[in-house]
Amino acid sequence: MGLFNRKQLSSFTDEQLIGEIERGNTAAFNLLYERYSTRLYQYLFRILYPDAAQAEDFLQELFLKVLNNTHSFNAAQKASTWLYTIATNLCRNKWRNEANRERLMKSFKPWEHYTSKTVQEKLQEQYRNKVLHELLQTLENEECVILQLRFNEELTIREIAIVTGIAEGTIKSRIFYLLKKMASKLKSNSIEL
Amino acid sequence: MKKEPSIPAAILELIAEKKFEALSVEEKMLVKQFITPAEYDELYEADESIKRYFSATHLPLPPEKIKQHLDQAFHQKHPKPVPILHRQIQIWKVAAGILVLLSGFYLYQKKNSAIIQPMVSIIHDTIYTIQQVESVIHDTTAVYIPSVKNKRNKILASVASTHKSIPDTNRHIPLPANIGIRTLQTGDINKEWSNTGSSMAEDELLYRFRFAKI
Repeated sequence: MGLFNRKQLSSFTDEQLIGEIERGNTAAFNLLYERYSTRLYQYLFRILYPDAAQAEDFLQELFLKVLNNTHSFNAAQKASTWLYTIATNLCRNKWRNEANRERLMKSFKPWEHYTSKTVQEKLQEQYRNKVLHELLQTLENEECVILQLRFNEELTIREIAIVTGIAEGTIKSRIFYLLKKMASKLKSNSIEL
Repeated sequence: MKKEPSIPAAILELIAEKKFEALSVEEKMLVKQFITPAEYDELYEADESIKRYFSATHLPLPPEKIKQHLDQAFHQKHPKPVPILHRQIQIWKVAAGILVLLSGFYLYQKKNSAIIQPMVSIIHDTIYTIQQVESVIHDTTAVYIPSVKNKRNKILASVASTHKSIPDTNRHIPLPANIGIRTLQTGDINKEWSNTGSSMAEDELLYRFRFAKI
């Protein structure tokens, strides 16, 4: 049986695409890259901020790992979970090797970009972002990863547990704690949410 | 970070999706077992705030050079398939090479074989057969079977008195009826050849049957 072309592959799941990559299908590799490169790059970018060059290197390394390890991919596993696991492990290895770890997202100041329209909304958004930014400064690297996976990548608790290798109960309690702390800070400063 | 009391993952998933009011009756009952509706909504708003925080920044796209490097790596691991036409040409080259080698081997075998298959030449009405049983001929005796008639129905060769029968197993060519076999010395053979000259090739039906080592 010949290799599937791009049009046929468009209806394939991510897991099926990995099977095709294993068979040497370039179109499948291109399609998987299109589906995930931006998401993964921005995930790495946020985690490693402000080291954008490192995020680029890791994205390339990640897809090389995909290319060379398709045989070890478990078809019962979700491809997205597998990809995020590789990305997260690359970051962890970097942290292990670094003597002086910088806190993640140290310089991440997204409140300069507003999505709200009115002045009142802008002020509220600015305040919320500032509070959250301060909160993020207190987090450890692993907690930042959980935060990213939960709120940015929108993975489920179970998926986060698989990606990070942390027990589901621990993930839940950390997310719950973060939400409570955030809610408490916003409430105590009398800003209407 | 301190650990919070165990809360079902289902509630955290609900917090990420909808406000308390939007929950179903069963979901509300589940939530109320752990937190109040007001707490739930506070957590929902906090969840939304964090998502907005992350979505507020426009992040860059991955550089194009990454894909180029990956393409190179991909083609190293999975080399591009050779076009069909090109592949056929290569197959033909290989096939031609094999054919030449086989032909050479066949000819070599034939040349060095102890038994050379009879060669038949047809010149008008003359059939001419040679069978050589030894590759090296020292001194030979030829046994040949002259036919009785030429195309003008004229007897050209008489049957000598030194007839010798040939076992049927050695007869690779069916012999015509009414023929005889005689054994000649090498000198006699040469003499016969010189006597017949070109007319033998044209007019005689001659079975020069075999050379044998003496």
